[in-house]
Amino acid sequence: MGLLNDAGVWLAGKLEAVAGVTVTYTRFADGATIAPDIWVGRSGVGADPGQLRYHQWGHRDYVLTASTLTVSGSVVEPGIGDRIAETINGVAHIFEVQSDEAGDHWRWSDPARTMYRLHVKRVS
Amino acid sequence: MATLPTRELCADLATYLVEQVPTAGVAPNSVTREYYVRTSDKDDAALVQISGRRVTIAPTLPNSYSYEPETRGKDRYTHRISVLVEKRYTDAGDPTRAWLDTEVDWVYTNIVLMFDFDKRDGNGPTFNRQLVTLFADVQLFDLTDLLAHGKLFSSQVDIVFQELVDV
Repeated sequence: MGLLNDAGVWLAGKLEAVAGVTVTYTRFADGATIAPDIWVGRSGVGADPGQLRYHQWGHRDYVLTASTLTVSGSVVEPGIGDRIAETINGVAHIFEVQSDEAGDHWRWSDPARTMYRLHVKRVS
Repeated sequence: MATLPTRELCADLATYLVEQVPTAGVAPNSVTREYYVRTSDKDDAALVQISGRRVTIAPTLPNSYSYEPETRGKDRYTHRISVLVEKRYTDAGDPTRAWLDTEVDWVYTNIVLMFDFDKRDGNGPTFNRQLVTLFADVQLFDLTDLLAHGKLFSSQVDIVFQELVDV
């Protein structure tokens, strides 16, 4: 079990090197900006057919090493309203940490609890 | 071919709203008569397209209208119409109570009260003095839209109107 756990932590450390993207992370709570090790975990579209409306919206997950989300030396949890600026194909986008349909805005992404998985939606 | 009165009423209400509340029709705000609203694209942010306050007036589904004989010379028409008001919260974080206060008050003032027509008070609309509002049912907002679907304020007002028309 210890060996598998160690392997999971090692693998998580390698993900940033092979799949990482460059972003600026701005905390809603205090405006602090961070440049964490981060990569895109998932991107997709959801839909909600209502009585008169048919809405689609995008959703995206970012995965980051928890220890890189630090403010004044302390590791912090992601908060609703935190924003991530990423340039995709030369176009600047801003994504915001928001609740998903299950009500979570983040969850642990690995059994060892070394990585955050953030649920975001594009806001501009 | 005859024109569906309920469809005409939706168009009249849209025009009336812009006459009474001119800012409602000034971009990025909009007031339109539709049968449905579709907001989608292949981007990962379809709801970002919504800017300003979007008002859509449409026949209510599934029961849009009915009529019955009132006298030998008149029919009683019942129109069921839905008004969907949408606006996106663009600041960071969850929508604030003050912002929601503004939006729910806008719906109450400019939809619920604006479309409350009463013949007895001479409060009928200029486009149809026979029109009377029977009932309005308001969904304050959809909480899932607000917190999990891109912070979209989405309020639906279902209104039942009635009028007597010559046959």
